[in-house]
Amino acid sequence: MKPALDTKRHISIGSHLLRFGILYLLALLILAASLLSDRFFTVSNFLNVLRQASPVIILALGEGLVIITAGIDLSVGALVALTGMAAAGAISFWGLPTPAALAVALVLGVAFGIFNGVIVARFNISAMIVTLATMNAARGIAYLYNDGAQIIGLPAGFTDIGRGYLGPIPIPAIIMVVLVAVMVFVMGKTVFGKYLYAIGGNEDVARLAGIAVVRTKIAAYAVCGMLSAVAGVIYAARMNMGDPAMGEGLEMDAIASVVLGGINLYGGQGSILGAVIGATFIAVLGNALNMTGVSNFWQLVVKAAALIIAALIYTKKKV
Amino acid sequence: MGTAERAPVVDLRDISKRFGGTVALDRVSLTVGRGEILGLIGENGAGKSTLMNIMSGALWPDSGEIRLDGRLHSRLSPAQAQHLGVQIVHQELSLLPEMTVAENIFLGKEPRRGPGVIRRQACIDQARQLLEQFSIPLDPRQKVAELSAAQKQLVEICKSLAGQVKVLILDEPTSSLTEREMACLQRILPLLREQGAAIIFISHKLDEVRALCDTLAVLRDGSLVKTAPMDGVTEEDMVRFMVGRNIRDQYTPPAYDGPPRPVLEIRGLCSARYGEVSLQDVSLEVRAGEIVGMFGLIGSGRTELIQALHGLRPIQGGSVAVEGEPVTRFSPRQLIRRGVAWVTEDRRHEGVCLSMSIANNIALPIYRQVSRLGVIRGKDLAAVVQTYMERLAIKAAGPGAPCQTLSGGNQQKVVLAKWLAAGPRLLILDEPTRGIDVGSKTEIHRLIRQLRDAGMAILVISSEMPELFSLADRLLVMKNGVISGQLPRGADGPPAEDAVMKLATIGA
Repeated sequence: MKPALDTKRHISIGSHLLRFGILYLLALLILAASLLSDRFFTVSNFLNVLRQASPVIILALGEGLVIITAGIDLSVGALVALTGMAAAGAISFWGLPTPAALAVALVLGVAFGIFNGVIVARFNISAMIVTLATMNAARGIAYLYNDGAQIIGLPAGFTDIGRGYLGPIPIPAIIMVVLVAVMVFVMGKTVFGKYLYAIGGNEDVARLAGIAVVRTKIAAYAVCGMLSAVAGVIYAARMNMGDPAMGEGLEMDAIASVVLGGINLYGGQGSILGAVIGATFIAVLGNALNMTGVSNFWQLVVKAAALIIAALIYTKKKV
Repeated sequence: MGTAERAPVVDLRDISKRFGGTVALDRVSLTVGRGEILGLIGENGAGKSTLMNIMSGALWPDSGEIRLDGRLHSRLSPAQAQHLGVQIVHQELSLLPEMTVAENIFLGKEPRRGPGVIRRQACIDQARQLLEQFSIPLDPRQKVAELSAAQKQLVEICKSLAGQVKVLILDEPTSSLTEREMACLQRILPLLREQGAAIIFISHKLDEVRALCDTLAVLRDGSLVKTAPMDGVTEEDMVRFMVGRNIRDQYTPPAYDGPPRPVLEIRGLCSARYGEVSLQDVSLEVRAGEIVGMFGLIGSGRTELIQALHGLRPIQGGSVAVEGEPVTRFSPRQLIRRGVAWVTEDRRHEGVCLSMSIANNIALPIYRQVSRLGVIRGKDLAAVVQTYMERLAIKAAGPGAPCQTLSGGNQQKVVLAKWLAAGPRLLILDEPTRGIDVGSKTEIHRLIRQLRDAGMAILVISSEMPELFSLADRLLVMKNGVISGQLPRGADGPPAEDAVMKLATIGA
């Protein structure tokens, strides 16, 4: 039994690093940025990062959920634009009050998610292909809706969702914290969460255990769609407009967050909190690069390098 | 054996191999000469595949010598074996369905023009030549995906003939061959024999072994128990060689005194799917408080029967009732609701979720019971997991340990724990102790008997006869999708092994 104990200890150190490695990296990043720029480690910059990071974190929650089932959702960025347009249109064109406009955006997000889920789970089509298609569809509809034009001039009641503060805390951050808490609870303490892990870990085992695999997967995509809508509303509110070009490439940030957070792209493994930390890391990295005067073009390259390094580290786990 | 000409091509001496606690091969010595066709038979798990894997370099023996063409190879690699002309045709096909017959045959050894450029026409011509040489009626330009299972099997064999063939190992090649392809094989093997190849033919189909082979070798529980010329050996003899085993019988008679109501009744079930074994008119009954054993070799349709029950393959006819209620919708969920639990044969792919913890695996079918409004009640869950981990004596760091850190035996206990936690009235066990250590095996057997005595209905499917004899109150034998016989357990012990093996190989 001795060797068994040894391997256990070995695994626990390894898995500790894998689980919390991104946290150490984040700490290192904050330290380095603080040394390089005296404007970085300030309360105002912290709140600024928090406000910027919130919608990405919300997207990463949904993306994490889907990736845990061994799926992927490329449509989240386009859905941000579409639901942002829908919310803005509901207010400007239909004259709906803000809560009703929010409901329209959320229902649209859920509907798109369900569509993704049904095609992926019921008809067993690659999630990559399905959501690649719906990504383009959502983007197209967002442009069609107002002939490619933005919808500007929204009431303060709406824009506060993206710009407002409660005391010193940005409202998007409050929404984000609530959603993170809910999702951590869902993934850790509910039957739904356990089923998602089981499906991602081994779909056959899940099906033979009597789990309604198709329904559960559809629900995962629906939740992802809804969270995309929340992010869409926050972006539209922050920009004070619905913009069909909004959220271009956000799906990549969401997926990168999930990977950086240590969620296995093949499903079944990883913590949803990891995706939150991954998204935070990306936001802090972007902010730190801005603060130290690195150009936007170089930022893309640096972020790409970070992603590949993270992916290399996490791949070791599966051997 | 004086001249070099007649020296054995394959010469294995005292080969032993252990996997953990199990002895897979115990000092096996075997020779195959130039132009000899050797039939290797034995029950599932007797060590045939292990021996072939050693010969082809896929495994290294713990001790013993491998000589090929008289030269000793202490560390034979698969590439080396192939280079020396050892070709192996596996049971599972390894063809690329979207490529043509010719491309598959020459995969990795394509005729080339300069670096990296394939001579496509030469490839096709050479493939056609090869096919014609062995009179195999296939078009080299046809896509493999369009072929039948039996034709694919022939392509697989051709693939091994494309290189130099000194030793050809056929690992149950006829499991999916129809008569026409069988006739092909009967042409190919003598041709190879004339070319001086040594051929090892592994099969469960005793009539084919008898028809094709010159000599016979029988493995039983990892030992070579018989080698003989094929002349004069009958199929009944072969059966006797394969099973003649003495093992202490741990059977205990059932002690359940409730009403013996039928829990599972299958009447005239038919299920067919193209290219696979079809179930024909299968009827059986499992009652509360009894263990029904089902024996059948690979490809007999025993697992397919359970899959059909769970809606994983189409059912064309017949009826199924659980606890007297007819089943109309066949799905895992419906059957679990009716109190049926199924411990699948393939533990790694269908049994445990390796990345998840023991607790989460055990709780999979019962999350609903230990939760309120979808929120898991942690204490209830922990209590259930604790109960079953103790009851099955699962050895692990704790309920949170991921299943991939466990031994095969403990993983199997987790699967059992999962299904017992679901509280079944009928427990179906497909190869419940395959590939696990002897200790766990004994424990699992004891548990199965306890469950029976508590009134559970149990169906055990196994290809290990000793396992069935120590568990089953009565025995069903399957062959080719049909129940070929039913053997009760007599007052004085289990049915004769050769009678069972006869039903499984030759039929009723």
